[in-house]
Amino acid sequence: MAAASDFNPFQSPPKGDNMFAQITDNVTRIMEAPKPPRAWYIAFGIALSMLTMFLGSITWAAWNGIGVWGNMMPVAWAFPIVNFVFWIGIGHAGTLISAILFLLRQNWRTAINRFAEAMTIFAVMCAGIFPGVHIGRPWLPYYMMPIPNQMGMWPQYRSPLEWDIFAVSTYATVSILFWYMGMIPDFATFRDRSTSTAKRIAYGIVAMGWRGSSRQWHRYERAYLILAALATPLVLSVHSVVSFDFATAQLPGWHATIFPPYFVAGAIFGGFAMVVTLAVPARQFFGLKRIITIRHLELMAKVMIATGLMVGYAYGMEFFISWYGGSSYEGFTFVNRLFGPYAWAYWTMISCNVIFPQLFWFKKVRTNVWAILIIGMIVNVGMWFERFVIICTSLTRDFLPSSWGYFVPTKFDFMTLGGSFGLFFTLFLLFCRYLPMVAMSEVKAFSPPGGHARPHLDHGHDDAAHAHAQP
Amino acid sequence: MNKKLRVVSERSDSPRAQDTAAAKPNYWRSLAELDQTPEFRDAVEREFAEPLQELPPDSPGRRRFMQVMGASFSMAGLAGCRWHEDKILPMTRRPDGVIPGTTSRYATAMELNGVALGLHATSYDGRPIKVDGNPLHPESLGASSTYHQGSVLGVYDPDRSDAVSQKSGTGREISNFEAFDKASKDQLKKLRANRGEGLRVVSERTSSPTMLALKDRWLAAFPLSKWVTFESLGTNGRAAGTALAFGKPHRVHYSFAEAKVILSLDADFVAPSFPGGLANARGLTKGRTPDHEEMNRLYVIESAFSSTGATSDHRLALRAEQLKAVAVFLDNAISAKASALPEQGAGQPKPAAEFLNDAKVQKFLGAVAKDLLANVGKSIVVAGLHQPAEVHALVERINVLLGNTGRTVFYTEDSADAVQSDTAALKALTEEMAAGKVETLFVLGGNPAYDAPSDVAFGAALEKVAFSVRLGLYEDETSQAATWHVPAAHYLESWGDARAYDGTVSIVQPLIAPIFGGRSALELTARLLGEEPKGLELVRAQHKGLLGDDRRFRKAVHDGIIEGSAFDRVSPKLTPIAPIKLSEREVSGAVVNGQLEVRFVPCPKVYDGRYANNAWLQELPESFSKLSWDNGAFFSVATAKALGFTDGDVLTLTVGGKTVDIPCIVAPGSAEGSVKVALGYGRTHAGRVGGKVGTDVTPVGGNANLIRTSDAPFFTGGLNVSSNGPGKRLANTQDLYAMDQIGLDGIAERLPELVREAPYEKFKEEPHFAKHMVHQPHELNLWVDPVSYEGHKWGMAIDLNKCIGCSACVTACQAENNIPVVGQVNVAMGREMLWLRVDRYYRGDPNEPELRFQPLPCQQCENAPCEQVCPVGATMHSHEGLNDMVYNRCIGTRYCSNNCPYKVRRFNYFNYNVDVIGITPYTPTEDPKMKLKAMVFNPEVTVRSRGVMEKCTFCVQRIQNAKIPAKNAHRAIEDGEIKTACQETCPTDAIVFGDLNDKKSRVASLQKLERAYQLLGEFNNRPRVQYLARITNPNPELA
Amino acid sequence: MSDHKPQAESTAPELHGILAEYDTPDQLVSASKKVRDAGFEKWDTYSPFPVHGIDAAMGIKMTVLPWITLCAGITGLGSAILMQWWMNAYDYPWLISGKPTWSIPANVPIMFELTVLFSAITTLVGMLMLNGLPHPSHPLDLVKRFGRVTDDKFFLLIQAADAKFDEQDTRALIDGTHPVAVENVLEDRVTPDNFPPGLIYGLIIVTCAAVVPLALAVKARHSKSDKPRIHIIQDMDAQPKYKAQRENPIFADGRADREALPGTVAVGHLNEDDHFYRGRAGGSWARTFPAQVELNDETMARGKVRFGIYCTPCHGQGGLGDGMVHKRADALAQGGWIQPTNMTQEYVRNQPVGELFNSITNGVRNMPGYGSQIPSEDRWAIIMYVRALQRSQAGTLNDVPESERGSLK
Repeated sequence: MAAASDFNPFQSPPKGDNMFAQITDNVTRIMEAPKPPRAWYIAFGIALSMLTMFLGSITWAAWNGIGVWGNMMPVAWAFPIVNFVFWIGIGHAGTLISAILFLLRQNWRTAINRFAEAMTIFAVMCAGIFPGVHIGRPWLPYYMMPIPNQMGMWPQYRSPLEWDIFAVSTYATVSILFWYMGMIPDFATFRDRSTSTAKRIAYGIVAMGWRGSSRQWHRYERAYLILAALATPLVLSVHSVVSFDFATAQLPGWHATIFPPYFVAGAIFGGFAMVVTLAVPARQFFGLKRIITIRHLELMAKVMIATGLMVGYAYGMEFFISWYGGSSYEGFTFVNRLFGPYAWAYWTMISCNVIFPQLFWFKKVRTNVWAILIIGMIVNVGMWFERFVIICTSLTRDFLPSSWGYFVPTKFDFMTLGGSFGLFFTLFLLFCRYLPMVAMSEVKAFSPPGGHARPHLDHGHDDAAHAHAQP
Repeated sequence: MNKKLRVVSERSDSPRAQDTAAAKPNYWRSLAELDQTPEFRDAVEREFAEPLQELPPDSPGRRRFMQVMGASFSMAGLAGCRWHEDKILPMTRRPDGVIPGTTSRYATAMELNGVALGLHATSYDGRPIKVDGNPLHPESLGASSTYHQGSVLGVYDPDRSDAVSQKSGTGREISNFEAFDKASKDQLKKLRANRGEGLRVVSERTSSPTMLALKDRWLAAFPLSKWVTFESLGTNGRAAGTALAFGKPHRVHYSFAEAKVILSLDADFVAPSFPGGLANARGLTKGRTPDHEEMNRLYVIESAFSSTGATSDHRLALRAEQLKAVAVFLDNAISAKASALPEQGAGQPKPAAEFLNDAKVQKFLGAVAKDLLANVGKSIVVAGLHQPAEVHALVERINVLLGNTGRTVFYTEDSADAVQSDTAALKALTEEMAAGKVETLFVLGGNPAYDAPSDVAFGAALEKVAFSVRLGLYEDETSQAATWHVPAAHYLESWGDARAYDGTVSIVQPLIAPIFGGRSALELTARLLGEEPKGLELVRAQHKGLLGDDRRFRKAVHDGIIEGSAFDRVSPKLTPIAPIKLSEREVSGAVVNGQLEVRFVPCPKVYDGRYANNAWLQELPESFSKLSWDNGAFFSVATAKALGFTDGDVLTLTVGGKTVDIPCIVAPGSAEGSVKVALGYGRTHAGRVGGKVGTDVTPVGGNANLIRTSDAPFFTGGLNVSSNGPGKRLANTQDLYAMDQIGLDGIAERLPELVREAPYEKFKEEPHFAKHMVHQPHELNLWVDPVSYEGHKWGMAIDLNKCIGCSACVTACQAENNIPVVGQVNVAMGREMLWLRVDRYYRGDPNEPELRFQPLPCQQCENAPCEQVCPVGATMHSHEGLNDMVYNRCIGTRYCSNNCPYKVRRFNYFNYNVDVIGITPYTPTEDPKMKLKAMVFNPEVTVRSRGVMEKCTFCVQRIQNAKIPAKNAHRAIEDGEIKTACQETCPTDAIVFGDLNDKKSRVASLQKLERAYQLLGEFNNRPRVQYLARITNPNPELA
Repeated sequence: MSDHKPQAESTAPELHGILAEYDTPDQLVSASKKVRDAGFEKWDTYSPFPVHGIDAAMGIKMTVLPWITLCAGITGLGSAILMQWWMNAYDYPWLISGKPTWSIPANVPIMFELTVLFSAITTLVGMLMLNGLPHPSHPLDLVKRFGRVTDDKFFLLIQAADAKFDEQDTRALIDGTHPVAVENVLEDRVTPDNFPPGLIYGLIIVTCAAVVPLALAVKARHSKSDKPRIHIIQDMDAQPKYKAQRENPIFADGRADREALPGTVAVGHLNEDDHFYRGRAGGSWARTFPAQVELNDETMARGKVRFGIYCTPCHGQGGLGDGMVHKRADALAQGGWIQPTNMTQEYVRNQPVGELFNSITNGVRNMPGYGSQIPSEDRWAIIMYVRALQRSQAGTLNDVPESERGSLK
C-alpha cells in the first residue's frame, strides 16, 4: 500500500483515545482536512470536463433534433436507452446493500453501505436524464406525468414507459430519503466537529438538531427498518419494470418472460462491480482501509460471482427458450446474436460477464484489490454491452426483412455515454469530499465496544488495530 | 384595429374612392412599400408582382378591399418567439361556385417525349397541389405515374428561373421581357428580310397540334430556316420497323386484356415511359385475376429486370443485342407453322447463333413459339422501343401471322407531322453551329447541352451562335451557353394541347398564373411570329375547325379530351422482309470485360434528367435496387462476381475512350455481360436538389450521356469496367447493408409466408392455400372486445398479382400527405419518411431469380401493438378502426415503432421542413424563396415538425371530405367514393380501399376471396389490410 | 444547533437539569436502569449510536410509527387505483390496442410504486415529527462537553422540570451511577434571538427568488396585451402551409387564394344549360322556369326559407324593400344609402324570371351578386317565392277562394 500512503494526506495517527473516536476521526478528517488529496483534484477536473461534454452533447441534440445520434429505423432506440438501463442497473447494488443486507443482518455492510447508497442515487440521476432527453421533443417530457393540461388528456397507463416513470421516480425518491435519513446522525457528528461557522450552519441545518437522544434513536431505528423493508421489494420491482419495456413488446428478442429476474440479477451484478470500482480507489485515497477492509471487498467479489452465474444462466436460458418455443422469428434473432452482424457485441458481453468473473473462484484474486478493481471494470463494460445486445441487436432484424437495418453510432452517441460518467463521478467526488462517506454511527454500533453483535467485526478490528499501529 | 376598419368602411362605401382605386392598379404597391414586414420586402424585391398583371381584371371594389385589409393585417408582422400570427384575407364577392377551403379539379394534360397523358389536377384555392389521372382519358383511365405525381412539385420549385437573363462576358445578368422582346423583334426583322438565313430552331418532341401548326407557319415565314426536333430518349426503331414491315411508319396499340399469351422482347410495356404504358398495365393485370376467369401467360425476354419482367410467368435474361437473333428465330419458327400468304414473304432462315443452342434458351423459345401458335388471335408480341428496326419489323410480322391484328394488336398511321426525334439532324446542326454557320438559334425546351450523346457537343457549339435564345424552366446547362434565357411556364401554368399515343387530343389547362411570369413555347413562338401571344386564344383558334363554337371548346376543356380525335385504326399490308444480317456480337454468347454490353434506360424517377431537381422523385427508391438519390450500374450476380465487384463499389465505365464513374449495383436477374445504367443523372446545373457545380450541391449520380454515342444511343457493346474500390454508403431503403448469409437464409425461410403465392393449377385445386400457409393458432382474447366496429369499418385489399412495383403510389402518398424529403445522408442512415413502401424480394436462384413486390402501408391493426406502448396516448384507435396518430400529443419516444411488426412508422429525426418553415426561432430560412415550396403542401394535412412519429393514415382527410357532404345530404357514402391517394394513382388497380361493413363494397368482396390473407396475422394484431396471394400461370412445359 | 459565543448574562438563568457523562455504553445502560427505577419521567440519555438494550433500561415504549406507515401505504394504493381508473377509464377513456379501458394487470405496477412512495415519505416525515425534529436549539448545546455526544461519549440528562426532581437528591442519585463527570445544565437564554443572520438573509433571498416566477404568472394573468402570446417552440402550431383565405407574401396582392384563370373550367362546373345556370333562353331572358326546377310546394317552401336567409335583411319579409338593414341605414342617415328595391313594384313584376335570376346571381346597383352563395336551384326557388309575394301584393278578389271572400268584406 505504499502507493496509497503517498496519496494519503492523513498521516497523523487518530487522536481519539478509543475505538469510537478513531472511527469518527477516520471519517470526519476527510471533511476537516483543509484540502483534499491532489488525486481528488485531478479526478474532479476530469469528471467536470466530461460533465461539460455531457451537457454539451445533450444540448446539441435538443437544439438540432435527436437525429444527431445514430438512431434510425428500425433501431429507434439505441445508446440513450442502453445508457438508461445501464445506469438504473448500477443503482441497484446500493439499495441492495443498504436494505437487503440490512434485513439479512449482514453487519459487514456498514462499512460500504453509505457510499453504495450514494452511488445508487447518482446512478439513478444519470439514468433519469436519458428518458427525458432521448425523446423527439425533449421539451415535453411532462406529457408523461399525470398533470392536467389543455388537451384534457392523461397518460396512458398501459404503457411500460409510463410504469417506468413511476418506478424510477419512486426509486429515486425512496433512495434519497433512505440515504439522507442514514446520514442524519453523521451530519450531527460533522456539525459538532466542524470548526468553521459556515460548516456548522450547513451541517447543522441538514442534521436538523439531532442530539442522539435514545428516545429518538428508538424511533429512528424503527423507521430505518421500515424503509429498508420498503426499499427491498422496490429495488426488485424497479428493474423488473424496466425490463417490461422489452418483455411486453412483440419484438423477437424482447418478448421474454425471463426478463424481470434476469434484469434484476444483472443489475445487482453490475451494481457490485461499480461498488468495487469505486470502493478500491476511495479506501486508498481517503485512508479508509481500516473501515473498508479486504474482507468487505472479498465478500463483494463473492456476490459478483454468484450474480454473474445467474446472468450467465439467463443467457443460456434465453437460447433454450428461443429454440424450445419454436417461433422461427425468435430463433432467427438468437442465431443472429451469435453469428449476425452484431456478433462482436454479443461475444464481448459473454466474455466480460461470464468468463472473466470466474477468476473470482480463486482466493488470490478475490483478495487482490487491483484484480478486483480490474474485473469490476470489465464487468461494467460487459453489462453495458448486455443492454446494447438486447436493445439494438433485437431491433436490427425483426419480422419483415425489408425493414432490416444496421445501427451505427455517431460521435454524439459516444459523447453522451462518456459524459454521463462525468456527471456520475462529479457527484461522487463531491460526496466523498463533503459528506460522511461511512455510516459512522452504524460502524460504531457494530465495533467491538459498540455492543451490537460483537463477534462480527473481529477481522475489521485487527485490520484497524494494525493501521492504528502505523506512525 | 378600429382605425383599419374605419379605413375599410369609408373606402368601400364611397363610389368615388372605388373609381380612383380602379384607376390606380398599383395602389397596392404603394401600400406595400409602406409596409415594412420582411415578407413584403421580399415580394417587392423579387418582382413577384409581375404575375399580378396577368391576373384577370376583377371588380375593382373587391380588389381594393382586399388590398387594404391585406396591408393593414400584414403591418402586424411576425414576432420572433411569440405565437405565430395568421392573417385572414377574406374572399368576399367570390366568383360563382368558388368556396374557399375546398378543392376543385381541372382536366389538363402532361406531355412526355411527345406523348400526352390526360390528368385531373387538384386545385386548392386556385393552387395546384396534386395531380391524378383523368378517368376519361383512354391512356390514363384515372391512373398516373411517378412523373406526373412529382410534376406538381416542379411548379413550386424555388430553383426555377424567375427572370429573363442575358449572357454578359463569362457570366449572366438579369434582364427582363421588354428588353428580350425588343432584341428578338429586331433580330427577326433582319431574318424576315433574308428569309431565315442562318436561323435554326431546336425544340423538344411535341405532339401539340397548335405547336405543329405554328412550326409550319414558322417554316413558311422563314423558308431557309431549319427546325430540329431532339428528344434524348426519343426512339424511332418502331417507326422504322413498321415502315420496314408495312411500307409506312405505324403506331402500334395493344389490348392486353384480350390476350392470353404475351411475349415481351426487352419491352417494359407497362412502364410509364412506354407509350400507353399505363393503359397496358391496366389491361395486362386485368387478364391476371385468377378468381373468376382464366389467366393470361406472360413471357419476358429482357436484359435487366423490369416491371414487366417482375410480373412475368417465365423470364429469360439475354443481352439486348441478342434479341435480334431471338426475333429471327421466332419468326423462323412461326412462319414455318403459321401459313403466311405469299405476298407476306417467307420467314427468316434459322439463325446460327451459339447462345440459341443453349438448352435452356432453346427450351424456352420452343415453348414460347408453341404457346403463341396455340393462341392465334389471342396473343401479343411486343418489342422494346430501343430495339432496332429489324426486331420491330419481325415482331409486327409475327403479330400479323398470328392473326392478332385487329384483335389484340392495332395499328394507326404515324402521321407525318407526329415528329420523331432526329439525333442525326441535331448532330448536323451542332457541326453547323461549330462552323459558325448559324447566327440565330432558338432552343424551345429540352436540354441538349446536357442530354445529347457525347459525340454531339451542343453546349460548346452553342457558344459560337451570335444570337441564341433558350426557353427553359431552369437556367440549366443549355441556358448557360445561350445569349438569352427566357423562363418557361410550367404545364400547369399555361394553355396548350397535346395528343395521346393513340392520337386523342387533350387541352392543357393552366391552374395558376405563371408564378415567375414565364412563357410557354406556344406563346413565345407565336410572339416571335408576331401573332396573338395568348395561349388560350392560340389553342382555341387551332381547334375552331374541329370543335366549332365556344360551347364545345368549353366541353373539351372540361372533359380534358376531344371526342373522336384519336387516329383511325388501320390494318396495313405486310410486305416481305429481306433476310436479316446478324452481326458478330448479336450471335455471340458470353462476353468478357471490355466487350460488355451497356444499356441506357430512361430513369423511372428523373426520366432524362428533366426532373433532376425534383426532391420527391430523387428520393423515391428505384423499384429494383431500392436505391434513392443516385443511379447505379446494374450487374448480374455472376458478372459482378466474375469481375469482383460488390454493391457500392465506384466503377469507371469506359466506352470508346469516354468514361463516367457510377457505383455498382449487384442486380439479380440482369443478363450476364449486360450492364444497365439509368440516364438523367450527373446534372451540373439542375439546382439545389439535383446538383449545381460551383455550389456545395454536388451533382446526383453519374451522367451516362458521357459514354453514349448518337449511333448507338440505347445499347452498345465494348464497355470496359474498372473498380475504384468502395465509395460512400449508397442510400438504399432496403438491404441498407450487404446482407450476410444468415440474413439471406432468414429471408429465404420466411419469404413464402410474407409473399404467399402458388401456381394457377394449385390455386384451382386448393383455393385456400394462402390462409393455411402459416399455422394460425386459435386467437383467444383475454377480454371481450371493447368495441364492435359498427358504422364504418375501413379496410384495404392489395392484390399482389397486380402490383408491378412502379412506385407511383409512393409518390402519390408523398404528395397527398406532405411527407418530407430527408435527403441522401438521412436515407443512407435509414431515416426515409415514406409512409408507403413497396418491398422488393428476390426469390430462388440468384442467377435466375424471380422478383416479388409487396406494397406496405400501415396495416391499421385492430389490436395495434403500437398503441399500448405509447405513454402519452399519441396513437390510439378510432371507432372506425383507424389507428390514428395525434401529432401534437406525440413526444417522440419511438416506442411505437419498436413494437410495430411491420415497421411502417416513420420518425422526424430532424425538422425536415426547416427551410420551408423559416419561423422556427433556431433556424431561420436563408432564402425566402424556399417558402414557395410551402404552397405544394396539402392544407388538409398537418405539416409535421421534428420529433414526432408519423405513418399512413388511410388518407383520413379524404375520408372526412367524403363523410361530411354525405352527412349533410343525409346519404350513405357510396363504395369507391373515397379513394386513398395510392389507390387513385395505381395503374393496375392493385389497391382497393373501402368500408368492410358495406357488404357490397369491392374491398369487402376482395377480402372475402380465398387467396386473401393477413400479413403476420398469426400475432392476432388483426390487420385491416389484407393481401391477395400472387398466382402465377407457368407453362407446364417449362415448369 | 446555534453557535454560542460567551455573552454577558443580565440575570443568572435557572437550572434546566443535571447532565452526567459516561465513557461506555454499558455504564450508560446501568445508570439508566437506576434513574428509571427512581421513577423519573422527564429524563433522557444521549449516545453517538443506538445503544444496545437502552430501550429496556429506560423503559421506552414501542413507537406507533409502523401504523402510520401502514395507513400511508393503503392511501397510496387507493390513490393509485383511483387515479388510473379515473384518468384512463372514466375521464378520458380511449381505445387502445383493442383492450378494455380498465384492466387491472396493466395497472398493478403503478399501484405498487405509489404504495411504496407514500409509505416511505410518511415514514421519514413521521419519524422526524415524532422526534420533534428539526429541533434548532437546546440547553445542552451550551454544554461544552456535550459536543462529544456524536463522537464517543454517552450522557444522561434529568430535567429540572421533572416532578421528582430535587437538586441534591438527584445529584446524589447520579453520582451513584459513577459518571465520568456531572454538570448542571442551565436554561438557554442566548440562542433564540441570535439565529445566525447570514442564514436569515439567505432564506429571505431564496424566498423572494422563489416568489418571482409566481408573481410574473399572476401579472400575466391579470394584464392585457395586444401581442400574441409567448410561444418559444412553435412545433406544429405554425405550419408552413396555406389554409383557406390566408396571406401569402409571395404574391403581390398578398393572398394565398389565387383566382381561376379565365377560360378554365373546373370538373363539374361546365354549367352548360344557359336556362338553368344563367336564366337565358333563346338569346333573351327566360320567361319560364327551367325544366330542372319542379314547381311544387316543396320548392316554394325551400324558396321561402332561402328568401328569409338571404333577402329579408334588405328587402324585408314582404319584399317591400323595408328590411332591417334599410331601417338601420335610414336611422343613421349618413347619406349615400339607396333604398332596396320594392320587389312588388310593377316593373319588377314584369321582369322575366331569367332577369330576376341574373339579378340574384350577379347583383344590381348596390346589391352584390349572390351567385357564389346560393346554388342555382335555390335561386330559382327564391324566384318562385318572390313571384308569390308579388302576386300577393297585386292580388284581385278573384284570387281569393270563394269560401274566404266573405271574411274579407
